[in-house]
Amino acid sequence: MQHILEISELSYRYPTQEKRVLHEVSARLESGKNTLLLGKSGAGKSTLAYILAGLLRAEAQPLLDGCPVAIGDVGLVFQHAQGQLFSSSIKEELSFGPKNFGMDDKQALEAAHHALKLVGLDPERYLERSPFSLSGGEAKRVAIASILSFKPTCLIFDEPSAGLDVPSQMNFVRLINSLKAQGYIILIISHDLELFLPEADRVWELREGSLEQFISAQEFVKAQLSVGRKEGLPDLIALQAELERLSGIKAPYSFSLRAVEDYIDEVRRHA
Amino acid sequence: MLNTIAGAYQSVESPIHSLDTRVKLAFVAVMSLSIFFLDSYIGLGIFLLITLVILVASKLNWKSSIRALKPLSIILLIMFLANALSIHADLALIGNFGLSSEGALRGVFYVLRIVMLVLLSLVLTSTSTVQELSQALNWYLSGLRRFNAPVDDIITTISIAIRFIPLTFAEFNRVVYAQKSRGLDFDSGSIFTKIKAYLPVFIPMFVGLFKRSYDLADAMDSRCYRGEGRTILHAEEPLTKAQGILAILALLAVLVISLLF
Repeated sequence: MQHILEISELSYRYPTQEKRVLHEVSARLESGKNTLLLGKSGAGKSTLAYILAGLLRAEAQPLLDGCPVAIGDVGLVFQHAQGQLFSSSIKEELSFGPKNFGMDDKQALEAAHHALKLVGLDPERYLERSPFSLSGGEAKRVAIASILSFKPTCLIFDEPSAGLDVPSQMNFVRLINSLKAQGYIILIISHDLELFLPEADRVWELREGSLEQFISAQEFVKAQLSVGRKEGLPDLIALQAELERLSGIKAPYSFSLRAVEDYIDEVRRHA
Repeated sequence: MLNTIAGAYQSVESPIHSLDTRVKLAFVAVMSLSIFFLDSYIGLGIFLLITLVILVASKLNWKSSIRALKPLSIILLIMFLANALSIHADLALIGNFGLSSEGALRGVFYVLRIVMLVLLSLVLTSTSTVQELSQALNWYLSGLRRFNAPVDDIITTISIAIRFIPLTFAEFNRVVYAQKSRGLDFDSGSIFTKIKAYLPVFIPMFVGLFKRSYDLADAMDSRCYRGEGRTILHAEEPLTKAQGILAILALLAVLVISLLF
């Protein structure tokens, strides 16, 4: 089933601040689409995530399939998600959310099993272990499973690659793509363009409270290069931009290695 | 979201913000002590007026000041009731037991003293950065070095503790939001249910804070901190003549008012 999470003319100001953090932001997120939210520190990314998850109340409420978002519709995976683990076993940790949302013990255990499988961990090996005995990557997976276990429709990841080693980052990207294929609405808040830009179907950028939206990662890249902003862009994109500057041949700004190799061949032919 | 925490530094331009932190610290300390010497409503009124003038001059957000009092509301209520309820009641509730007008006035007096203390501390922490507060403490305690007191250890400990206050609040808020998003209800049920609901908050919060403190200890060890030698937080600027005179006058005025009334 296709789900839509949308916000319309959403503004927000913290009670102790005079300036608005978010200013008339309108946007929509869809099932099976991966949206990357960018912005400088303090730009309001986390505030927007909290509002979308129903944790902060703004005048304009976010709507999921036309109804106001309730707690549990949107799962928010915090930057150091492992820092929210508290139970003595992973089984208890993963059952915590489902029980809060009204599932009985049996249903909660089934949900815990299912969620662990989704994040690629073997329930037989992990359910009885203490969440405090896990490695960083495993703890992050368990934290994500603790969100998936109560079956939210939308998943928001705040700086998901923070503190993960390279293999864990790659595993995480695979996990995101698998969740996307299962129809989850996915919003990733990150500064890591190298890792997440190639995976993004949409890109949002928060600047001084306003949201700029790009329909694809390529559109975002073009917009950045057109104003001379190169910092943080993936190396592959920087290479294409440099080749375009030297050869005058329009670059595809693709993240596919095959497409970039074809482009290099074309530049060679014209040289 | 650190700046949404009551008592955290608020970056606003105001006469209180530009005042030397040493002056503010001395004023708050003397005012806090003097408050307890007050025994008349005239004195209380003058102190209330001084507190309000300071609060307005600091240009702090009123909502944040009120929010700072919220956690205290139960203690203030108990304090008021402990004074107001009497067996010689003017307004009897059960038999002779009820509200006494004299006790209620006394209750208001004590409640207002605590409210003033909280508001003054709030102004101090909201208008001075952690660095400025540590520096001011350093200035006051430095004289104790002559008596071989471990001043540098004390200053380092206090400045780290002060630095951890907003971090603790931020960690607390973060975990509350994390558990709320997993359906934890903090608002309904009996008082015991509500207290129990905070268990999934306090466990990860303390785990996080201990981890952070171990990291800090390692970072200090790696930079060869041995608790020896002088701690230099910042170049100490001399107190300006105008601020010094202002401080002495203000402190004298506070002492005179508290002794007279």
